[in-house]
Amino acid sequence: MNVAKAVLRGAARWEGALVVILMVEVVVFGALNPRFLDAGRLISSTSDFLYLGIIALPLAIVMMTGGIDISIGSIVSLSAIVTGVTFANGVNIWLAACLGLLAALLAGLANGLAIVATGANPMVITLGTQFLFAGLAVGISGLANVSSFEGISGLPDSFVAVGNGETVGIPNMVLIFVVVAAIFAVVLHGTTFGRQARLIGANPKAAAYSGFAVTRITICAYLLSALGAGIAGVLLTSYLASARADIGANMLMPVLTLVVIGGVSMFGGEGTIVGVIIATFVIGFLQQGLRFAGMSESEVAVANGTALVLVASLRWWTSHTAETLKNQRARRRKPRTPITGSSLQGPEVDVLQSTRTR
Amino acid sequence: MTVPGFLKAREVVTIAGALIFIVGVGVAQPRFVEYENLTRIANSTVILALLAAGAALVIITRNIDVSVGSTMALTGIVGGSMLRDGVSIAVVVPVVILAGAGLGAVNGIGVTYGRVPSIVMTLGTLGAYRGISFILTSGHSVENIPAEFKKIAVTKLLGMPVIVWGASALLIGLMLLMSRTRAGRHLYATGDNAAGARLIGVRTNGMVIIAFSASGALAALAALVFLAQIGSVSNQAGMGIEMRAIAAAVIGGVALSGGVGTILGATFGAVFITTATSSLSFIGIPGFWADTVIGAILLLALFADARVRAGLEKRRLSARYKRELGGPPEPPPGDRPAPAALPSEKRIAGGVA
Repeated sequence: MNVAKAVLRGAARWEGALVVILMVEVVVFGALNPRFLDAGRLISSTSDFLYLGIIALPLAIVMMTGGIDISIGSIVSLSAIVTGVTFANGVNIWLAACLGLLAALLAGLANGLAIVATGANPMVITLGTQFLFAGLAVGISGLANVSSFEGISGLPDSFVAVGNGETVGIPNMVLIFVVVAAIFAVVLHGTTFGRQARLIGANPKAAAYSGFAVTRITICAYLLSALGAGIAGVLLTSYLASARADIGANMLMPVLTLVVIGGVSMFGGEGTIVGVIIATFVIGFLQQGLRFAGMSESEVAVANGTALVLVASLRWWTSHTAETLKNQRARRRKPRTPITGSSLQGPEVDVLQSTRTR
Repeated sequence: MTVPGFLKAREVVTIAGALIFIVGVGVAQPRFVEYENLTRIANSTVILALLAAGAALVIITRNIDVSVGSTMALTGIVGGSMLRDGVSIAVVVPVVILAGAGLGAVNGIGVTYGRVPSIVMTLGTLGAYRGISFILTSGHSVENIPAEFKKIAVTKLLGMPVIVWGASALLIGLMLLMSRTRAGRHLYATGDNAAGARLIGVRTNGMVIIAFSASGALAALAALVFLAQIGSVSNQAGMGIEMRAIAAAVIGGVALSGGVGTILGATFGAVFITTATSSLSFIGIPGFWADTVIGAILLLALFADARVRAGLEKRRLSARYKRELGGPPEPPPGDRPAPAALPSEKRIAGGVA
């Protein structure tokens, strides 16, 4: 109980910090360039990065189970090119989009089954499938004689409008992100699946011994992350009005940045969807703001990489310092008399006293 | 302990796989195994083999380095611009290698003293180093490398480019360092059990920094080979090659759980990948299936490894039951743990047999 509370408090603090950073960003970039604060521009600019959040949210669930999915970028490409090629062969565009999502789900199923069957590190398995899926995407587009530079264009306007249009003044991309985020937040925080997934990451042995369907939950987590990547692939195809086989090639780093800055531990069991949602905006607005402040694309990349490393390092050091301070306070306090018969507390108090007298 | 034999078996599978593959393609297309074509393949393996050796060093310490592609581009651009501006080769080569080692050391320090998980750290520098190399050249590629440097790539000894001889000598040296010296054993100990290694006096942080620096230095060497072979370097150079390097190391039997694997295996993993992708055109498969082939080989290697490991575990268990119970081993009830519990248990144990 206490552990759960401590985790919750820590997470709340982290998300609070993210909100503060977000507000600081808006103020600073607004001061540097007042055009940044234009509400309409601010909202419409989110379409440039929200699709990353759609991939990052389910990836966060995978990472909470202690796994990782390196192949997400390739799944984005795969779903995009399947959508494009089936459309180019005369399939209705909406059915084609569904086939794209289905391809993504199959990819996720392959990931999950391979990880469960071999028991190998998820990073190597998804490294292998990263090549496999990217290769399949390029292969499919090669078989269909698609030019790798132009991709498949000529998509119908109604489909292109999904990624570019607005509904009641709000860009569709934002609406889709809100819906997806709400679904994943409920899945992780409101269902048995979510709680079990988190415990598998925190302590796989305890999870297995308490009778969780570890296999099923693991496979489900990879299915979800593939679904997120598939949705992003179809959405990007609509947003860019073209299906390309290399669309997700460099997507791993920005997506992992969101997940890590969102407070999800690389070792599983820790993190919240809300954190990842806020991180999506923190990083998105950081990049937009830096561009508005006149930085070039490569300078933004350097700033982004530096921020990722610094945040990850600061997280460990702040929690470590907090822990040290807490221990010092506990040591300074007068030790209570141990509860009689408690074999656990006895030696602990002895240790405390001996350090005190030293 | 069966571990040494097991280690050897891991590489034997890769080496045998690569050789069987070459022979198989050679039977189908005799032109493939002509000496000239084989030297061409060896020549194009050099860059990947150097990077795979670096990846192996880092993975053996139970870390991962995904920044080598960007390190290669950045050091290549620095070295290329210096050569173009007339700095002598004798100065450029050590400077570039030191620069690579420095970039790698940044990763190592971040991982050890900064406490950043290695994949996060190196993903950060993957983006940052690539960004810096764009800023340095403002997006242009570096061309006009002097002919005397490019000559290195076409100089041959016994029909084989000197670069191949040099890289082989370097990799053999690294193998000996890893297997015969104290530092090499400390590197393995760090990856196998960091806390235990620290307790017996291994400077684990130092070993991790050394591994990352070596990976950076090898990436810089790969950049020099790139400069000599291609004669120019763009900001896109080496994009995505880090994953191929890691794949080569894993195919060669280096376990991501740390402490297991050799440079020899990683080198042959690289040879396997290059022969497989370059043989595609010989057996009539379009080149765009290359990535699919790499992925399939990697997954096959992982499945084979899982089977071997499960078999060994079973043999170990039955030997133990034989010892404890005497007489013929009965199939014990706990021989096959519940499949649901197995994968996750293995994962937390790091998958080391």
